[in-house]
Amino acid sequence: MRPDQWLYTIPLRLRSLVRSNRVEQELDDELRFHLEVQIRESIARGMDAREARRRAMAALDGLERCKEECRDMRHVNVVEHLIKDFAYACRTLRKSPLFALTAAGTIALGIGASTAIFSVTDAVLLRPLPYRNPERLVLAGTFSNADYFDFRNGTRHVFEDMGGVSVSRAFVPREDGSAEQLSKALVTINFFRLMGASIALGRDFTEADAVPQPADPQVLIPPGSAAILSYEYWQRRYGGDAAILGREMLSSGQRGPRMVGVLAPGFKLLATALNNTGADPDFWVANNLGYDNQHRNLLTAGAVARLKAGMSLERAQQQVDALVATLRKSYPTFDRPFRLEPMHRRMVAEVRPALLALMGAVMFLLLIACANVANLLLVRASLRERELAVRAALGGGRWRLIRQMLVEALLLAGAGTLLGVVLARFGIRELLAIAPANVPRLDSVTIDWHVLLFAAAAGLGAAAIFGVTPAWRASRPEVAQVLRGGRTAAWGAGTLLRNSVVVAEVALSFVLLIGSGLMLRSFIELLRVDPGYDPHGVLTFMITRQWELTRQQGRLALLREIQTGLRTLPGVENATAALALPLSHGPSSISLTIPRQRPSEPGAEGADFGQVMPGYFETLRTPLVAGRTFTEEDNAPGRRVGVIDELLAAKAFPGESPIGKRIRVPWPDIPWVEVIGVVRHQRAYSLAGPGRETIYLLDGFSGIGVSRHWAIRTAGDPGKLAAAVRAEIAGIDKQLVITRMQPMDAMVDRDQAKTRFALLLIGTFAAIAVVLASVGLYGVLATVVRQRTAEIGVRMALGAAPAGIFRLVVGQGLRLGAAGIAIGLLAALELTRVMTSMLVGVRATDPATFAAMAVLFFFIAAAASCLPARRAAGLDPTVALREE
Amino acid sequence: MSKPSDLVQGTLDILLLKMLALEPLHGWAISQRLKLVSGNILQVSDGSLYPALHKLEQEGWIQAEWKTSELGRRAKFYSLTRLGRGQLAKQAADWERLSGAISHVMRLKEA
Repeated sequence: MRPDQWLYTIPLRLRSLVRSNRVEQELDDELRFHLEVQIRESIARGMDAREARRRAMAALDGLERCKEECRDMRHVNVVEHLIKDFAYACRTLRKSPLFALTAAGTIALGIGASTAIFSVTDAVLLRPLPYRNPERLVLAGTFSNADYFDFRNGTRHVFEDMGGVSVSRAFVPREDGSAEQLSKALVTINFFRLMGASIALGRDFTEADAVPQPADPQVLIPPGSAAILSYEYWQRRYGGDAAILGREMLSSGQRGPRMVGVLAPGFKLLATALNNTGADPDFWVANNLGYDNQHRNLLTAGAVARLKAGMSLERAQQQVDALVATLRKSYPTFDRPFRLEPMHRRMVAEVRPALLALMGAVMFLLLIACANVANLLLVRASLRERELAVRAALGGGRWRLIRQMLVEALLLAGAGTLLGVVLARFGIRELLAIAPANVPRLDSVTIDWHVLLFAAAAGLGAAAIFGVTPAWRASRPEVAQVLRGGRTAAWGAGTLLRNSVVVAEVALSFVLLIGSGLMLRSFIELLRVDPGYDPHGVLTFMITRQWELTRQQGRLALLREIQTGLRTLPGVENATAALALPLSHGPSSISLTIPRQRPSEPGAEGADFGQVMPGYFETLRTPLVAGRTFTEEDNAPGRRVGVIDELLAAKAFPGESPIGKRIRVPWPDIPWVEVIGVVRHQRAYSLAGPGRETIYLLDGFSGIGVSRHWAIRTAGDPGKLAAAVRAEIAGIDKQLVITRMQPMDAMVDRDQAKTRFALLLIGTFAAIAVVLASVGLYGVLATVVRQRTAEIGVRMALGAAPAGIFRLVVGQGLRLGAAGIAIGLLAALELTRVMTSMLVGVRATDPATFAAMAVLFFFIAAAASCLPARRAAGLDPTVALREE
Repeated sequence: MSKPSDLVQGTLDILLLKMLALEPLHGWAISQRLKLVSGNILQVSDGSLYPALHKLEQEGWIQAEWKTSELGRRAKFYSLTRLGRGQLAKQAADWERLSGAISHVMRLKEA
């Protein structure tokens, strides 16, 4: 249609809609005028008045019909009918509020749950990272200073640029002498340009700012360094004062880094692999990664690279692989693979499978809710069969009937969606409260237009699913049969449809039930697993102090003093410290060389390594398997002794005693250590996974004490020791800072959080699903009983025992249940595979879980069938026969 | 349905447009004229006349106005719009082309 045509037509259509009475009146006037003139004309030609009227009407094909065709021409009817259908649907739903509430509520439950989970999925998995062209940012693992130069130079034609970042804690003194615990990031000077971060105030780093930074986070930032503050820290600490630019941050005992700029608000380091403090960096210090070939294996920074436009990850990886091969030739100990990984994928790698599984589960729940409402509508349609048949017989068009059912479904879905979004709001709040800490970007979960769009689409989809079947069904009532007064056959098309819907419902909820069963098994396994230490009765905390580079020698002595002090506290059974405690954060890995009898075997082995103080295994109650543990005398530079765990013992020394054997370690001045003991394996990363082989070296092994994480064992409540510990530490050295004080049980608890989270969610979904499915089953059987009341009456009159009737109905319920369970079993065998990464100690196709859940569901199906069966068995035949 | 099945699709439209191009008319007058000009060949019932008029009005080709008729009663008079005039010219040209083509085919000598 041409635009100038709209000038005429739009006002006309609007008028037809808005002033419909007036338009109707005009139509009537117009046709009446025609009739009158026509009749008068005919009479004038000598026709009988009645005949003239009849002919005039006939010429118009009937007044009403003509009007209807005129209305059709005006295209008013479509809208008008829709409005009428909506009004009609509202009326019919109001007439059965219980049905309307149940249906809308069920849909709301499904939409609410799926919208809530979607909002998390959207924020975590779908939304792009807030950097410039974030899809081109890749992580390339961790590198040493020398690697940085070799890689940056060797990959110039695949990467636009490459930068390094490492995050640690820092303690910056306040004016009053107390220390402020901050999160500090060391970055190469190109880092902000690489990420596309904008500087809100001041300037970005330049070549001149780069000062070599110590790899040990406990060593003070050297004088002459430059810092850029995060906008948030700038506001918090300096109240947004622009005059601080050019000033130095406070530092104990020496000059602190000069503040040169402030980042734009909201810049975060989202890829958590680069950040072991878990907090967003408060300030960023320019690091000069000098080319240091001596410490080729001293990993100092996480590598971030930006692919050139149009460069594929595969080609970049090939380039890196080639580079690694040449480096390996020059440096035989070099063994890092350097796997490139898109930043976003890496960030969500840990949570992606679980989120997708949850999304799947919640979509199942939505489908079940739809199936339930479809069934409700089908039951309702069967009760309205007579009404529909009458309307069909009176010429109500089939399309009209379908449209009416669809409108009703749409109305229900609309109400359900609105209610569902409200539910989702609460759901998201609860979800965030129990979400495990490893889910990134949870703070950005909101109900935004993405989420609303999803809810709307889900609502429409739901309406289509539960509306179409009943509509199709309603559109073809067996008019003749219904009007003759008989019921439709008990096993007619409607019943078949209802049965299929119920079977689908049972199958879907059974899959969810199995999923929750597997999660339950995992959680029980997690509670039962032997982590290789006893977390009960252990208090853990970090003690850190900033050291000037020249005063490092005192560290070992101070750690000993602290250990002695803590051990003398009343109630303390033992105290120890380590570079990292189990579950604190991941241990570091090193490469080991184990002397082989057969030289053909590869000698290098990767392993985790821990640096611990004497008493470590005793305090954590890690059982000794062979040999001995560390003594105080061992804890001195030059003592080349190590303890390995049973995994490493089995791998490196199969079938022989490792005690007294030597293992080559990658320290330039300490070529090997002698194994003095074997301990039980500790689950260091997570209780959920076995982790890697581990070698333990002593705290003083490399000359300076490096332990930061402390653990003390007590017979009583570890929380009660906190005050005494703080007092003791303050008495030793005023500059020591205690952080992250918590019972080890709390760390275990946090580690279990993701399994508990998944269990809680999938369990809740499964519970709702099972309730919905049983209600569906109940509904179908109840309808069948109601429809077959007369038949049951006849059977009873002919001598059928109530028990037989009971069995008949229950049998039908169990058949439906069994069919659903069978289909669900097959589906679950495939679908539970997606859960593999979430499971602990149980396979995705665990036969015991499958069997147990099948039996459980069978009983639930039996219970749901019992109620209608009892009603059927309790029928009075005389009443039942009079039913029709 | 009393659609003028014997009328080529769109023929009624062009007739009505042409008629209204001459002068504004009300429905009954159009019906009389139609009977007059087309006789028994083009049978247009009153029942299909009015829907057709409403359709043309809806398209914006004709517009309606309530005026006092020659019979002293108010009647709905239709007249051609600027758009309708264009449409008529276009349809007339189409019609010329089509009828010309068909006549040409019909005049072909059978072998």
